[in-house]
Amino acid sequence: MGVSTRRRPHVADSTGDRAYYIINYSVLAMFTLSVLYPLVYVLSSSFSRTSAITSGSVKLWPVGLSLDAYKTIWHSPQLVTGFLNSVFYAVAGAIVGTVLTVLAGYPLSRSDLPFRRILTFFFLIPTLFSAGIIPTYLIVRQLGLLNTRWAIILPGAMTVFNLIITRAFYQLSVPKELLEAARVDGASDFRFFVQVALPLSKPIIAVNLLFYAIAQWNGWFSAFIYLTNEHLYPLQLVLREILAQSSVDPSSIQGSNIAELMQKKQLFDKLKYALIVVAMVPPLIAYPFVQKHFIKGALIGSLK
Amino acid sequence: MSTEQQPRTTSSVSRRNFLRLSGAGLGAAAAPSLLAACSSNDSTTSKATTAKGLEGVKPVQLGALDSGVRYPAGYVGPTARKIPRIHDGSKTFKIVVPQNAESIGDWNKNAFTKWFEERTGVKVEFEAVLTFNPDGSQDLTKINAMLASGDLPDAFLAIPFTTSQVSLYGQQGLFVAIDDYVQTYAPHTLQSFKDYPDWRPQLVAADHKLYQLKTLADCFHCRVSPARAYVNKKYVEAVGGAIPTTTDELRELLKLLKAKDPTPKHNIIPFAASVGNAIDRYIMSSFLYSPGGDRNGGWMRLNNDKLEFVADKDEWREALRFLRQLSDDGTFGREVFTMTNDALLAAGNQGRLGFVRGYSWAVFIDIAETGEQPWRDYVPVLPLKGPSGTQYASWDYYNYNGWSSLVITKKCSNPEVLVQWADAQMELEATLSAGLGPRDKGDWGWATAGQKGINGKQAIMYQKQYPPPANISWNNWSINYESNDSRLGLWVDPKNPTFEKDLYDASVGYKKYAQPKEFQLPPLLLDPASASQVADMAASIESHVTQSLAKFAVGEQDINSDGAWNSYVGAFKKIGLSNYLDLYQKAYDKRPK
Repeated sequence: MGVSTRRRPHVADSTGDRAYYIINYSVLAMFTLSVLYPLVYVLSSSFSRTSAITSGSVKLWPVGLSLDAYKTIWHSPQLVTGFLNSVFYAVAGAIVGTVLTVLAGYPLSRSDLPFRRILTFFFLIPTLFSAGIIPTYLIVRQLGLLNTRWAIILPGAMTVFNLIITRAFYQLSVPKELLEAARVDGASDFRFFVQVALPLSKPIIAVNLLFYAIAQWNGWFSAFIYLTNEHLYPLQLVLREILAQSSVDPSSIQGSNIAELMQKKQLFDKLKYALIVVAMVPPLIAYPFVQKHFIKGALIGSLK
Repeated sequence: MSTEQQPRTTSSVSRRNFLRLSGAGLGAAAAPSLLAACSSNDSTTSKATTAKGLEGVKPVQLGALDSGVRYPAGYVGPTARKIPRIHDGSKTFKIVVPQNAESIGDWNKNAFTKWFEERTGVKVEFEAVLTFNPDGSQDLTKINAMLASGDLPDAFLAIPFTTSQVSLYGQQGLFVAIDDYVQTYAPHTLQSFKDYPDWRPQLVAADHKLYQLKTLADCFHCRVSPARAYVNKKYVEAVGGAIPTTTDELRELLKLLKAKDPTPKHNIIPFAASVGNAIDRYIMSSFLYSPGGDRNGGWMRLNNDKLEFVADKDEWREALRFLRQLSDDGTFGREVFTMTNDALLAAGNQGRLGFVRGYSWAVFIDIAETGEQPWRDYVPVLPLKGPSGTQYASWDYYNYNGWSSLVITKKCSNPEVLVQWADAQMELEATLSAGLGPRDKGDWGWATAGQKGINGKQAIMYQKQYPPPANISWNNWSINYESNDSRLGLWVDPKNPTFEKDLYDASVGYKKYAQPKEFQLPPLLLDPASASQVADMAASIESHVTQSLAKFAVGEQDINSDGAWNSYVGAFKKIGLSNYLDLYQKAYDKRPK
C-alpha cells in the first residue's frame, strides 16, 4: 500500500486519464459526503428544538435553534466529572501504555537480546486466547483494584499490537550500525536508548500516545465491570447510562407508568445528539495535531 | 411431587444453563464456585415447601393504621401504617442496586434512603451497578461477574433477574429461600398475597419455594395497552365518517380517510402501526381471543385447561382475509409491519395518522398537558365486532408483575432483617415515598375528604408533579405494593386533569369486552432442562407467525389459496409445535397454585 505523491510530468491528460479523475473524484466525494452527513446531522440536531426532532423535520440544518440540551449537560454534575475523568484516564492511560510499549518494544527489536524469540512469543500468547471476564475480574479484585482509578488504567495497559509495530519501527529506523557507532564512542545501552533511539522514535511515540488515548477515551467496559463509585466513571459510561435510562421500548415495559416513559423519552430526545457531540469533539480536535506523526509512524511500522 | 429426584437433575442441568444464561464471559473459573454452590444446595432443597414460619418466633403483625389517610369504600391494597423499628443499626447491609443518575442520583445520599433508614433503623450501603445497554435492554455482565466470583453483597435490589434466573440461582443456593421469614416477618407481603391470590405463584421457583420479594404494580390501563387502538376524531368528522364499531365500519372509514384525505399535507397513513406496536392483538380480537406473543412465546390460550395454539385456527385465517381486503382497498400497506417506532412518532407529529395501533398516545404523538393538545384528537377505538359477532379485548389478567425485586444472597447472615426491610417498603406511605420522595419534601400528600381519584371515588393522595425532582425518590425501584385501587386513588385536579385519567378512561371501555380469565395462560416457569429447546422453538414460531401475518395481509401470499394456508399451517408442525405445546402443558399442570 502507500499513496504515491510523485509529481506527474507536465503532459496533457488523455481522455482516459480525465475519465479516471472524474470517476475517482466523484467516488471520493460521495464517500466524503456519506461520512460528513451524519456528523452534520448530529450537530444540527443537537442545536434543534426537541419537537423538531420528534416530528422528523431536521434534515440538514438546525430547526428552531435551541441550546437547551447543552445547558442540561452543563448543569449535570455527572457529565462534567465524567468528562474530567475521561481526560484523566486518556492522559494517564496514554502515558502508562506508551512507556510500557516503548520499554518492551525497543529491547525486543535488538537482535542481541537473549531469548528474543521466546520473549516475543510470550507477549503474543494473550493475543491467541484470552481468559475471559471472570478470571480477570477475580484478579482485579484480589489485587484490591476494584473501585479505584487503577482498575481502568492498569488492566490491559499495554496492547500487543502496539508493541509489534513499535518493535518493527525500531528494527527499521534505528539500524545496528548506529548502535555500533555509539558503542565505539563509549555509549552504554541506556545512554544509547535515551539519547539516540528515543529522539529517533518520536513518530511511533505519537502513534502510541494517540492509540492509547483514543482507546481510553472510547472505553467503557473496564469501568462498567470494575467500578461502582459513580465519581470515578468515565464519560462514556455516564453517556451509556443516560442513554440506557432514556431508551423506551414500549413492548418490554410492563406495569410501568406512562408518565415515566414520557419523561424518559423527552430526556432522550433532548440529549441524545448533544451527548454524541460532547463525546465526539475532543478526539476530533486532537486528531489534526497528531495526524502528521500518526501517518508517518503507522506507515513505517506497517512496512515491517 | 417428585422432590426426591429433583435436586440432582436440576443442579446438573442448571450448571450448564447458568453458563449459557450468563453469556460468553463466564469461563472456566465460573465452574468451581458454582459446583460448590450446587453441592451446598442438595441439603436445602429437600425441605418441605409449605412455609410454616420460624419456630418459636411470634409472627409480626401489621402496625396501627395511620389516621390521617382516607380510603374509598371497598378499598383493596396497601395501607399507611406504623412501622416498628426493625434493627438497631449496629450492622450495615451491603446491597447492589442499578445505577440511575437522572432521578435517584447517589443512592447513599438520596432523601428517601435517609427517610427510610430513620424509619426502620436498618443501615444500608448501596453499590450502584449499570445494568442496561444503551438501547434499554438488560446487561447483567457485571452482576454475573459478581455472582461467579463469589463477590456477593447481602442482597440485590431492583436487578432485573428473570423469574427463571431467580429460580436457578435459588436452587443452587446462591439466593436464600425466604418462605419462613416471610411467614413470620412480612405482614404486608402476606397481605398482598391474600389480595392477589395469583401473585405468589408468579414469584416462586421451580421447587415452589420463594426466593424473591417483588413489586406488585397493578396498572389498570397496562392490562390492555398492547391491544388498544386510536383514531383521530377530527379527521373522522372531516370525512363525514363515524368512529367504527365493527370491522366493516373500519374498512369503510379507512376508505373514506384515503379518498378524502383530511390531513394538512394530504399524505395520510390511514392505518398505522409500528414494529413495537404490532396490530395482531387488536385486530384478532374481532375474530378470536389471541393473547399476542413475542419471541419468548405466546399465541397460546387455554381451552378447559388444555393449551391450544391460536395462529393456525380458521378464525385467524378469517382475520388475515380481512386484512387482505384492506390491503386490496389500498388503505393498508407494508409499512404497518415495517415502520420503526421513531418513524411512527414522526408521522404522528406531522399529523399523518388516521387509525393507529399504539401502546398509548405517547408512542405516536408528543403529549403536552398544556397549550395546544393535538393528541386529544385521538380517541380510543373499542374492540370491533367481527363478521361472526366476536368481540374481545385481549386483557392481561396477570400483568402486575412489577419491575423491582429483592433477592438475599447466602452471604447475608441475618436475612430476616432484609425481609422486614423490604416488607416495610410495601406499606403505603413508603411505597408512595419511594416513587415521589418523602412526604415532607412536599411533592405529594394525603387527599382531603371529597377530592376525587382517577376512578371517580374518594382520592387517597395528590401529587404536585411527576416525575419528582432528582435525588429524593428511588424511581419506584423499591419493593412496592401498588394495587389497582391505590393507583386509582390519585387525586385528579378538575382544572388540570392528569394524563393517567385519560389512560384510565381509555381502558374502562375495553374492560367489558375482556375475555374470560380462564382463557388466558398464566405466566409459567419452564423446566430448565427444556428451556433452551423451548426458547428456540418460540423464536421460530414468532418469526413464522409475524412474517406470515405480514405476507398474507399485504397479498404476498394468497390467503384465499388453500395451498398457501396449508403450507403455513404445516410449517408449524416442522417447527415442532406439538412438542412445544406439550412442554408448556406440562409446565401448566405442574404450576404452583
